[in-house]
Amino acid sequence: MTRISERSRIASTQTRIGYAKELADKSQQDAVSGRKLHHISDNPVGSTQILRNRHKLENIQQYRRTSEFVKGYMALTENTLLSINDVLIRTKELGVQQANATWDATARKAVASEVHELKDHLISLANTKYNGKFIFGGFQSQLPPVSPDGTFTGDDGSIFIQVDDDTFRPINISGKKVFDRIYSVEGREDKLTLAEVLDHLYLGLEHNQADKIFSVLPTLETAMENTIQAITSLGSRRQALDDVSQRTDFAEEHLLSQSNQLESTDMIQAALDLQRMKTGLEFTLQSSAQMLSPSLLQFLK
Amino acid sequence: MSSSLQSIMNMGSESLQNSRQGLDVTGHNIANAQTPGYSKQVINLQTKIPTLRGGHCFGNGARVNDIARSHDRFLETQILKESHHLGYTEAQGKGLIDLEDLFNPELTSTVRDRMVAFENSLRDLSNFPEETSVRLNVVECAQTLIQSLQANDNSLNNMSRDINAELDSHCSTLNKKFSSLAQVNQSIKELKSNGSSPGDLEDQRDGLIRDISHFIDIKVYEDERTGYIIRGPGDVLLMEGQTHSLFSVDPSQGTVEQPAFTCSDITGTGSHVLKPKEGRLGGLLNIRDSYIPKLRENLNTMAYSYARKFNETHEEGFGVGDYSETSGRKFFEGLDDPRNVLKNLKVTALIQEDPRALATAITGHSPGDNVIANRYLKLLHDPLIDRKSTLEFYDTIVGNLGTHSLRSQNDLKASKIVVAQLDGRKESISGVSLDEEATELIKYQHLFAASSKIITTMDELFQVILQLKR
Repeated sequence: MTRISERSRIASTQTRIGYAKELADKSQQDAVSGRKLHHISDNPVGSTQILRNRHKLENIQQYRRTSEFVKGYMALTENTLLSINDVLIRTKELGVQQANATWDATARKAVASEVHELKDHLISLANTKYNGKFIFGGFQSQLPPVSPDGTFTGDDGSIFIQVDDDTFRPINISGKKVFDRIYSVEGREDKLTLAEVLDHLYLGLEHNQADKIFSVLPTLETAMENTIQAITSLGSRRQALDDVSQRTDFAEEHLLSQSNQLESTDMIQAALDLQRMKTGLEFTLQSSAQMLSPSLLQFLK
Repeated sequence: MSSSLQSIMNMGSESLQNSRQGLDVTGHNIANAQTPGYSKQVINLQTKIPTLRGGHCFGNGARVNDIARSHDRFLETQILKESHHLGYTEAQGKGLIDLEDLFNPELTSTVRDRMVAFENSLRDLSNFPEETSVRLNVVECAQTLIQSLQANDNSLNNMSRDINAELDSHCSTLNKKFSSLAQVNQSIKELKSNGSSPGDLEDQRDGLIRDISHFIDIKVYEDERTGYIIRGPGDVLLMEGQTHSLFSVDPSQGTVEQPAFTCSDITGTGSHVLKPKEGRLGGLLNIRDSYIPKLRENLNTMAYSYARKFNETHEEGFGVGDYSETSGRKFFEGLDDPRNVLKNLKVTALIQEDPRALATAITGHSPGDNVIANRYLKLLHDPLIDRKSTLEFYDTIVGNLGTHSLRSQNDLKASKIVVAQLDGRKESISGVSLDEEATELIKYQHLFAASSKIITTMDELFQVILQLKR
C-alpha cells in the first residue's frame, strides 16, 4: 500500500487539473485558430513542407502573371505576323497582276503607290511594341528594329522567360529571319531586307519594268514561307505554354490540399475534441472537489 | 514494597510525558503538513531496561528513544540526479522555443519571405529588364532581405546577452544558497555534537541541495569528520563543511560575448572555469555556446555563399543605359571578411544610386537581354552549400531547430514525469497524512488518559496506605 500524504494528495490533484486544463486549452486553440501547427516543433517535417509550399504557391501566382504576359506577347506577335502575311499576300497579288504585260505605265504607277503604302505598313508592323518592348528587335527591345529606309537594326537574341519552376521558354521570334538582309532577288547581287524587296517592286512598278516586277515574285513567296514558319512555331509554343499553365493549376491544387491537410484543423474533429476535453475537465474538477474534503479529523468529536 | 509503588507512579508519569511528546510531534507534523520539503517525524518509544527483583523481571515502562524523520537517502540521490536533468531540459527547452519564435513566429518566416520576395523581384527583372522601376524593386528587395538577415543576427546576439544576464543572476542565487547551506551545516554539526537529531535542519539542507542541483550538476558526499562535501562540474570542490566557493560570470575568461562561468577556489585563491553539463546553467550555456553561434554561423555562411555566387554572375553581365558598355561590377559588397558578412553586407553604392548598373544582359548594348537575369533565378535553386540550394539550406536550419526543440520538449515532459514520480515516492515515505496524524492524536490521547489513570490509581493506593496508620 502506498502512503498518500497531504502534500501529494493536493499536488496530484493540482497536476491533474492542470493537465486537463492544458488539454482543453490546446484543443480550444486548435478550434479557434483553425490551425493545428503553431511552431515548427509541432511538426518539424510538416512545417518546413508548409513553408516550402507557401513559397511554391507564391511562385505559381507569379508564373501565372508571367504566363499572361507571355501569352499576350505571343498573341500580338502572331497577329502581327498574320497581318504581315496579309501584306505580303496583297503585295504578291499586285505583283502577279502587274507582271502581266497587259498593263501600261499609268496603271502600274497607280499600283506603285499602293505598294509604297504596303511597305510603310509593313515597317510599322515590324515596329510593333508590347508593354514597351519592340517584339521583333530581339535583345534590342528599346529601338524600332526596322528603320524607315527598311534596314533591320535588331538582333537575333532569344528572350527566355521562366514560366515554371524549371522551365524557361523563348517568347520572341527572331525578327532577323523575317525582316533582315536575307532575300535575294534576280538581277541583284546583294541581299535585300524585306522592306527593300517591297521597295524593289515599287521601283519596278514606278518605272514600268515588267522584268523587275516579275523577279520579285519568288522572293515574296520565300518571305511568306518565312512568316508562316514563324507563325507555326509560335502556335506550337502557345500550345506548350497552355500545357504549362494546366500543370501549374494542377500543382497549385495539390499544394493547397497538402498544406491544408498539414496545417488546418479538421473542424468536426476539433469540435468533438473540445467537447471531450470540456467533459474531462468538468469531471476532474468535480471529483477533485469531492475527494479533497474528507478527512478523519472531521469525524473526531 | 513502597519503593515499588513509587516506581509505578514514576512509570505513569513518564508515560504521561511520552504521550505529551507524542502529541507534540503529531502537532508538529500536522502544522507542517503542507510545508514543502518537510519530512514527517516519528517518535520512537522504547521499553526501558527491566529490573530484576526476587527472581522476577519487572518492566520499567517506556521512554522516548529518539525523534527521527522519515527519509530515504537513496531516493534523495535519485531526485538530485533527475533534478539536474530537469533544470537542463527546462532551460534548453525554453531557449529553443525562443529561438524558434525568433525564426518562425506563428509559422511565418521573415527571412524566407524576404528571400521569396527577392526571387520574385528577380523574376520581374527577367521579364522586364528594360524597366527602371523593376530594377529599383530588385535593389529594394535585396536591401530588405539583408536587413531581415541582420535583424535575425542581432536578435540572436541579444538573446546571447540576455542569457549572460540570466547567468549573472543565477550566480548570485547560487552564492546565497551556498552561504545558507554553510550556515545550516554549521548548526547541524553543533546539534549533532549535542547528540540530538536535527530533522528539520536536515530537511532544510536537502531542500537547499535540491535547489542548487536544479542549477548545476553536483555530487554530494557526507563525511563524518568534515560534514558535507559538494563537488561540482568537472569534480571541482565547491563546498567542504562550512567553507564554500563563490560563483561569477567572468568576461576576462572566455570572450565578452561568451564570458566564462567560474567559481573561486575553495581556498580563496584562484578560480576554476565551470562547464556544467546539466542543470539550468548547463542548458543556458548550451544554448549560448552551441546553438546560437551555430545558427549565426549558418546564416553567415548562407549570406556569404549566396552573395559571392550572385556577384560572380553579376560580374559577367552588362547593365543598361550608361552601363550597357561595361561589365565586371559587383552587386553585393562587404564580403571581404567571410566570417563577418552579415554585419557588412550591402548592395553596392553605385547600384543603389543608379539601378541601371544592375547587370541583366550577357551582351553589351542589349536592353532586352535577360540572360544574366535568368541565371539569378537559377541561382536560388542551384546547389550552393553542402549540395543544398540556398533555400533548402535555410529550411534545414529552421527544420533542425524545430526537431531539436521538439526533442527537448519531449525530454522535458519525460523529465517532469520522472521527477513527479520520484516526488511521489518521496512523499509516500516522508509526507504527512492528516488521517494518519488524526489516529496518532487518538492514540496519544488514549495513552495520556490511561497513563493518568495509573497515577490516580496509585494515588488511591497511597490513600489506602496512609489511612492504615490512623
